[in-house]
Amino acid sequence: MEGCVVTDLKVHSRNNCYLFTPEQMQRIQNEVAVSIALEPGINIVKIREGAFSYYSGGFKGEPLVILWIYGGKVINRKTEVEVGATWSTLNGYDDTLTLDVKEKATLCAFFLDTYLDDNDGEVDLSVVRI
Amino acid sequence: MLYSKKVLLNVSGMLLALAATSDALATSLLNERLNGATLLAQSPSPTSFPLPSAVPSGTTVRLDGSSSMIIINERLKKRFEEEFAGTTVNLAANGTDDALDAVLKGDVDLAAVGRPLTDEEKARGLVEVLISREKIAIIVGPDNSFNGDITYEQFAQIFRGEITDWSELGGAPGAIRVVDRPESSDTRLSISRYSAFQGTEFKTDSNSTQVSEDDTDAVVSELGNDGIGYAIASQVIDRNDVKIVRMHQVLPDDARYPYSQPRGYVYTGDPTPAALAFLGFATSPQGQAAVQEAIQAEASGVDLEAVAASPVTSPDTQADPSPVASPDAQADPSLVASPDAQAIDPSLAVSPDAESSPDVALVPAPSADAAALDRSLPWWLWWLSIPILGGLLWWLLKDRGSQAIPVDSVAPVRTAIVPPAEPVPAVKPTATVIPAAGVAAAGVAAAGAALIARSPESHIILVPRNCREAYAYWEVPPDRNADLREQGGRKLMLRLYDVTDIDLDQQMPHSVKQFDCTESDPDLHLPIAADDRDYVAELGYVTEDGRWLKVARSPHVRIPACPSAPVDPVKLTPTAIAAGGTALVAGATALVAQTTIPSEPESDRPPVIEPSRIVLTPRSSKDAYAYWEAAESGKATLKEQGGRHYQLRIYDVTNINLDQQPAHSTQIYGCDELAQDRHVPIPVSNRDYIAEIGYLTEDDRWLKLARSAPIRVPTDRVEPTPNSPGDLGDLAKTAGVVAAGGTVLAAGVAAIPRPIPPTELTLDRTPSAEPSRIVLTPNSPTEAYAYWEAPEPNKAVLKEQGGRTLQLRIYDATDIDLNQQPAHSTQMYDCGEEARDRHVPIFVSDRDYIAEIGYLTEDDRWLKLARSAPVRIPATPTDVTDTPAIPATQATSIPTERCAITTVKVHSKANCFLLDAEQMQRLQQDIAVTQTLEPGKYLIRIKSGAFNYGSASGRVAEPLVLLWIYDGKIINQKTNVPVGATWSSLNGYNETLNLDVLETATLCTFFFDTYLEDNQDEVTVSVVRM
Repeated sequence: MEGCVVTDLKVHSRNNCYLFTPEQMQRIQNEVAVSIALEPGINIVKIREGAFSYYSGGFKGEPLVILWIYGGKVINRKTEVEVGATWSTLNGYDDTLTLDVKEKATLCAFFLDTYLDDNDGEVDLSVVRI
Repeated sequence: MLYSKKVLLNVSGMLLALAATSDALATSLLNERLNGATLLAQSPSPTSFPLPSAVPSGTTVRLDGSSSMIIINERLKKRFEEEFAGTTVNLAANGTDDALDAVLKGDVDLAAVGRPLTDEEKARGLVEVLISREKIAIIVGPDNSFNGDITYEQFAQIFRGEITDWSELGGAPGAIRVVDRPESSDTRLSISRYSAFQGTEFKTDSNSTQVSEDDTDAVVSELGNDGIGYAIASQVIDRNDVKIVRMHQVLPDDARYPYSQPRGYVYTGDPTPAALAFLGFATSPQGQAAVQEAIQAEASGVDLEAVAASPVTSPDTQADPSPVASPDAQADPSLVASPDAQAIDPSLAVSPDAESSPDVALVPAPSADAAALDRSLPWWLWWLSIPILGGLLWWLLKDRGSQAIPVDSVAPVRTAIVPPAEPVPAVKPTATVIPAAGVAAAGVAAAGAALIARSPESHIILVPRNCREAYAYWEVPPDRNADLREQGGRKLMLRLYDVTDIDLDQQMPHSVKQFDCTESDPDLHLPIAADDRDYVAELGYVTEDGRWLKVARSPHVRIPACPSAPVDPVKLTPTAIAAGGTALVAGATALVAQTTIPSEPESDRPPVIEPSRIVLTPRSSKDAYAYWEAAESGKATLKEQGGRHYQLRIYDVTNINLDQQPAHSTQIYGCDELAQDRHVPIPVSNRDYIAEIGYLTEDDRWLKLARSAPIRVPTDRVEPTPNSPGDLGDLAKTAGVVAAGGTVLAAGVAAIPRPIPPTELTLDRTPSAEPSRIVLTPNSPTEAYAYWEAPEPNKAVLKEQGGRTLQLRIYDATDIDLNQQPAHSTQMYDCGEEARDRHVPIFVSDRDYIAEIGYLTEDDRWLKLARSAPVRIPATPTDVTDTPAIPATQATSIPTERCAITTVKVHSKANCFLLDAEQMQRLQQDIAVTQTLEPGKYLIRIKSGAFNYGSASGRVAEPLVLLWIYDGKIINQKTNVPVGATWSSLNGYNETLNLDVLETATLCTFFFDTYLEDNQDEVTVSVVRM
């Protein structure tokens, strides 16, 4: 790949894993995130409208959201691996998370930040179950 | 920061029109000294934005601007915060210029301005929304002996020091002294934009006194017996220490009074949600009531001490705006780390162990009710966006085309004879020839170039009928007529300009003809003096003093050349027609002959050209109108070529060449042979569309009869037009444009059954063990969602048969059998091979729709992969969600499945998990694998490996990784938004993150978990700098 610079980063499952305390996770799941029950079947998750803005340095809002899926067996069609929980993000209006939900699961949608007061915007998330 | 200025307003004022600039009045003013400058106008604003149905709690609107907007801002802030609980409007008054800079930098959402934007400011992406308009009064001291009337030209001359003595204005002798406002004054800047001040530097001469503060009291106190100044009318109209000077015989309480100052808000081209919400409120009836209160408060002398004491902050005094990505945030000592329980209880783990921790993992969705509530509410921003953008577009377009021809070239016209004031190129002397037969093909083609010009309110169509006659048709809302009459318009006229080879905005027309019109008859047949030339029609009012108030202008239309034929002297009539005028050109150097058409016997009329032509014109952001005239000969030819089904097609051709590329979407409407027009819904506004009329053959070939010019459908607000949607066609027909029998074909009455093309495939004929399938689900009365699965073997078969473009088709199949009858309408969407779903607009609810996925071949054959069951799109939103799919009637549909669409809102504050700075620092510096990203393009993906929460439950590892990019400026190409920081994930080996790094940033790659010890494996992330 002439002219390109390729760097490989090895990300280890323990050494490079940020630890949320159970209380933090519980708070994400119970208090912070918008939660949606995912019934078995094909569930397609997309950002329909909106954006999340940090209001940092005049940047505009970006259509993104962080997703945490847990509580049941799901297959993210991008990985094709059946797991009991997984993380994902949606970035942009064309980004799609297609989940083959094998067991009833829960989808949590939220953002992460260190300062909330200047945040702005919201995103509309659609979950279509086929 | 508190307001920087105290403004004491102590007069009762007139209520000033909530106005936006009208190009018509701008033209009227331009007519006095046309120079292309953007001017102000007095017409009532057609722009109003609906009140948002909801604004999320926590929304903060940051607003800075002119001191002249203080009271309006305060009133709107109060009402806005009352209306939407939990919202905050932060106000500042650092002046218009600083506020505009702040908007551009993103430091505030809106600038409150007291003057129009300059062209340079507009070019930087700023957009203004007018909230109110104040007249600017010319004032003198109460003891000034001058009691006369001045013109705005005279005031400009006074200002510049060209008129220095009151006697020059008819008053008693004595020096005139101009009391000027500071250069930063919005009122001063507003006046400077008027044409009378254009062309020379806007400054006073030595005869002036300039007050240091933009304060009407200061101006009044300086007037004395010899001073003349200017002030917002509402601030002086009832004062006894000033005298208002009449201009053009009127006082500022008369709509015809020329000077005014706009006040409003400015945002960037891509307004923030907060800006949209605030603008939506400000322009709502509630907001407008608040504005009126503010204006009355200004006029009644509210002491702004109290106002100034309100919590107004400048952006720089607001709380730390740094996001998590910002280095500032990390260093912000206020971000105290929260006590973090480090003890890990595996039973509460949310990774693999989460399943065994019901208290964590099995969380009842707290938002279930909220979600239901959300579904019942229209999403407030989307609800707002269309009208807001409509207003934006209206604002952007308001001056387009308003630049009339240079006034010196077209003198104010009082009669039908229009002598140009300057020599113009002579039009070739034309012997009027009435063709005995049809016009040559070339002429026919040229005549097909009927175009429609449209302003957001008014439009005019000029259609060539033959080489001697054109037809003009227009639509003008009644309030527009009333407005222009109020502005002094006395007589509605149509001007016909010969614009052959010239730019009417830059050059004089070769000839001008003027025709009397009546407001009740929106059309006119126009004699064409010189054939084979280009013409433009312009509708407008002529004022008593000869000014021209333009209503609408058509684009160029080519009048075809008359064929050479013996001249019948009987038909050469050198008199003007009853409604028409005579065209003189070049100062009588050439005379354009006139033809009397109405006196001709019908049988002697030149035969009407039969071009096949079609005109598409936008009616609103959601509706366009197609009108066509199809030559019978052309239709017969295409029928001979196999044309069977007469169709209207509407193509989305935004940024493409339809001859070279497929349309983004296509709507197909079956038409009756006699139909000549149709209103068509517009799927997406602010895009370009083309209409075609033609025939579909049995083998799905498209035989085009005519194609329209491309039009841009604006993101306009939808407002009632003077005519009902169907009236345009009716009016056009009664006006004689439409040939006999023209009808609007109602949806669903296409009479020609279309059997399934033999090339269509169904599931039964595809070889895959897995069927292709497609599901169509109603999402709302205006939208549906299509999802499909098409196994590659199925697709491969159709590709082998010639399938080239994967396409989604949405058919309106109400009360028909799609296998036997053509759909009432068809939408087509080209899809990428990887696409699996699409939200599609529904134009008419309470009807049945069917979706198909398939391939279009090079020769326009349709190879179907799958067809959905018919779905009724309900008329009300409450019927939409959890709508069971109608049991399948097609082999490819999904039987007895239920489809559900859930929409939830994720709010940037309410649903944002707070990490303290220390935690973020730990993530960035201690946990994540980081990579500095120098400016450039990057492609990031998982090269190998997977992340495994643990093997206890037997799960296999999943290739995923989380990404945090910060401390720079980057664009994730999926969002295409430049940001300072962003989150992303990579899921699977095929997903890529394409980053444009504009400023050096840092990439962090990591995982999240609550329990580390059983984690296994690693992923290798490949970062390729292109």
